[in-house]
Amino acid sequence: MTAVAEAVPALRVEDVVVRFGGVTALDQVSFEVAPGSIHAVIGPNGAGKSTCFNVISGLYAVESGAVWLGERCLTDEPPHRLAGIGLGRAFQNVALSNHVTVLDNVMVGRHSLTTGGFLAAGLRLPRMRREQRRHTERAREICAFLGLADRLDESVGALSYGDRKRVDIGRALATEPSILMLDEPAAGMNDHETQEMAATIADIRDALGISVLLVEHDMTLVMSIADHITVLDFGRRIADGTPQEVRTDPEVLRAYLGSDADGTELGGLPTSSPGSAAGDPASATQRSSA
Amino acid sequence: MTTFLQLTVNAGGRGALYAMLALGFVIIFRATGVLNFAHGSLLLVGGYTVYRLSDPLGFAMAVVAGLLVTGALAVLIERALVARSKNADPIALALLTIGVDVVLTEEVARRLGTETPFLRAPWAQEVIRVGDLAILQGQLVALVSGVVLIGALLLLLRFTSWGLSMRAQAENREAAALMGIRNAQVTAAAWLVAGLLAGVAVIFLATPDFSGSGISRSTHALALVAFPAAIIGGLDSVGGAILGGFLVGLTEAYAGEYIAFDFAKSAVFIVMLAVLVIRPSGLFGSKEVHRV
Amino acid sequence: MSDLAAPARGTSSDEQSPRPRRREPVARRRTTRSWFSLGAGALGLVLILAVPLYLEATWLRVGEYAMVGAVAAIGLTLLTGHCGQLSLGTPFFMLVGASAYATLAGESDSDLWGLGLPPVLALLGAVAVSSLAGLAFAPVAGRVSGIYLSVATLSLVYIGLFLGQRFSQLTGGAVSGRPAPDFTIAGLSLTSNEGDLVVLGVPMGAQERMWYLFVAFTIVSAVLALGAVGSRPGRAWRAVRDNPASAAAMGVHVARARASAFAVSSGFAGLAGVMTTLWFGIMKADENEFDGSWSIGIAIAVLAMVIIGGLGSVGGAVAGAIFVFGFPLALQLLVPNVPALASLTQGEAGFTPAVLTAFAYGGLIVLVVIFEPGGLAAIGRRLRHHLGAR
Repeated sequence: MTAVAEAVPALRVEDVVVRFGGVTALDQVSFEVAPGSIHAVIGPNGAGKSTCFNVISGLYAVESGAVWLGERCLTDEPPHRLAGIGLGRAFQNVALSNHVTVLDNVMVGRHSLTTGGFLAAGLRLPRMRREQRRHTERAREICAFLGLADRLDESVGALSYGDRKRVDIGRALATEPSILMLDEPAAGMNDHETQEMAATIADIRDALGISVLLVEHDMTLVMSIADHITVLDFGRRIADGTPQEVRTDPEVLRAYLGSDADGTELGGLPTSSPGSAAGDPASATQRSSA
Repeated sequence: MTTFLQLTVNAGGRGALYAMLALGFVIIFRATGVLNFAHGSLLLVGGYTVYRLSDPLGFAMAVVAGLLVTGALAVLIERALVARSKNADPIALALLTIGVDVVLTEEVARRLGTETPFLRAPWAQEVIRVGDLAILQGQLVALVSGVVLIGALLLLLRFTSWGLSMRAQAENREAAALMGIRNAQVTAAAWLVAGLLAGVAVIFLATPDFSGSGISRSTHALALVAFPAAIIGGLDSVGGAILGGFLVGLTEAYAGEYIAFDFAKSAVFIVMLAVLVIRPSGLFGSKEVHRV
Repeated sequence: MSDLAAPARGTSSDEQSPRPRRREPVARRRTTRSWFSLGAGALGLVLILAVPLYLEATWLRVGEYAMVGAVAAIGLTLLTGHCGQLSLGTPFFMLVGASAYATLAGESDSDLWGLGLPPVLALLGAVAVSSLAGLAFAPVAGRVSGIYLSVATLSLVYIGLFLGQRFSQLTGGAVSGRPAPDFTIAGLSLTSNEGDLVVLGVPMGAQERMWYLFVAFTIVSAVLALGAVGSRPGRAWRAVRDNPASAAAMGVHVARARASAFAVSSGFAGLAGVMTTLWFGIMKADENEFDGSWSIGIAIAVLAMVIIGGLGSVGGAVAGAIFVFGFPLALQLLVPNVPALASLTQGEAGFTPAVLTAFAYGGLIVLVVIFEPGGLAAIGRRLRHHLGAR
């Protein structure tokens, strides 16, 4: 896989406020993802991490504030345009089509890069067949990179959890993003699997030069690969800096461990049970895409 | 003006019947999460039973028999079929009930052959005069029965432990089970109640006061008109079903009179479409929430 | 999973991994299998084309009616199977297509409108009109989902019933109907006996010609559907079906995908409506909502075809249609010749072929949902696996 030649834009979250009914899920949250960096968003349960993610990927509406990817304002666009602008997202609960093959799932990611409706596809126009071959090749490359090469024709539902997560990432990569958003990539994984996931994420960044934004509970993963960390608590940003800075920040320690934390460090301490991403204090209906 | 009042009053009886059918849909939906397309065949089976047993047993006993049969049939459908498709999603279950409906309807239609017998209820075709209004006695009895039964059901749901179990299970099935509520029993009871309501409704629907023909495929089609009633109110709202039922009855009556006789049913569905476009889950239904 | 990291780390450029070598034997096996299926397909085609040379008209009509169902079912399997939208509205779009064809190609007189266009144009127009009708309904489909949508589509049948009776200038009304315009291509009639046509010593009458016409319609439908299913539109539909939010994140315009699925399936339904009208020889609106060519009964029958065949399977849709539409007609033809059947169907009990078929497909729906949600298609796939494994 060759590195992306053009400059990868920065993602800027600016003073975002999100409210659900009477609850303020995000309160003036701001941070910036430097191009080509791995940026983690962490925080205790209910801090608003998933809300933040959903805002960036257009599923929730902001009350005020904005999200920018380079020159484009993401919060102005409907969700389905974001893939074309450069945002690729993998989901916490692996939102794949279970009865469909791995390759077919990954190819969905090529949707915004291809054209052709029912008639063109039905009539098997040569232009479309050529395009299909090209993009299938690229999808195979991505799958090979993620170690899925010999599972391309298997139904996703039959794969292991870890493999399904990879397919989800592969699908997000297939959109050729400038920034890859990973929602709890290590959820439900043991130490060994988490290490592999960390390595994969680092490989993706190294090979493609894209930014990676991740929400994560697992401190080992975060501390080992993140270049920059933003910490949320009760919808507010309470810390923002390098892993070194964050692990000793008193505000952060207080948020995770309570006010009796003194002279301790974050990292290696289980902060919550893996995969328990209840996250948002309220449920909300999504912004519709039309 | 009198026509309008006349229509409204007469629509009351019909509305009560639709409300009963719609309530049946909602109760089943809350218990099982499925839209029961087999309701029409429950109507048919109940009506057919009453028809066949009216002569030997007399109307009242025939009605009791009819109720027993529809109740039992509803429970049977749930226990033998719906409960077995545990992993099926709501659409697959709806399809299942469609399959059951086809089989049952064909069987009753086969037995009837070309007959479309009316049920000979004792109140049929009598007219009560109140001032300028002529009220069909059948409509009145239907309205009163409807109000009584629905009222009783609401009281049961609100104040008995069974009602509490039903509401708890509809809210959160797993939590209810953990609290000791027997899912199977509650669900079976829900289907039983829905079946009984259908059994009562058909006693009126298959009389000349309500329908141009007796027990026939058009009786089955009447259950389909009750779908909009449940949908308009919201598939998981008990109050919505009652409101929806009366709304549908009124819409049918007004549309049939003021627009065109054959437009009545289409009007009901168009009203439903209009409601859905404004509120995609019905007036009082809860919205679907997706977590990503 | 532990060796996943190794190839990934090493592959920072286009290095060849050992995998291609492992892939070759698989590829060879696939080619043999695809030659086999190609051969089987060609043989099937020859057989289908040869049928009118051997079967008589009454039997041809059975197959033709099955093909009507097949076209409608292919459309519905795309909408419900691939895009996840349960629709009971198929008969409405069939009605739209049929009346559009009858009006576009028909002659006008005192009670009827007709434009007298060439039938091929009228056919394309009819498909276009029914697709547009599907598109018009799509905004509703976009806002409403799941079970609510299925009842919303039921509205269409009622609206169709009313409009069909009202707009008798287009539909011919429910009492007398209007004649179905003959389908001719460059002067050659494909739905009537006009002009003597003899092929391989066999005279090609109306039914023989209609057979070939309908086979062409069915094959075109299947080819178009299969093409869409395996590429971009099909993938978008399935993504929207399984998780609309993640589909949007992948760049799929969810509402547009749902709309296109509706438009496409309505187009197929429109074609099936034209075929219905040609098959009956007459265009007629229904008298009530449960009996008739555009009724709820038809909605359920087409849905049954799709479920029995396997949601999403084009081949399954055709198989389902052969059963649900073809079987009762075939039974009817067999009854006089098979005494056992005759006593069953003509006795007091009234087990007519229609009733028996209804029992059969109602029961099959129940069995499929409980035991094999993938329908005939899934059973077929498993059989092929077993045969292929040997």
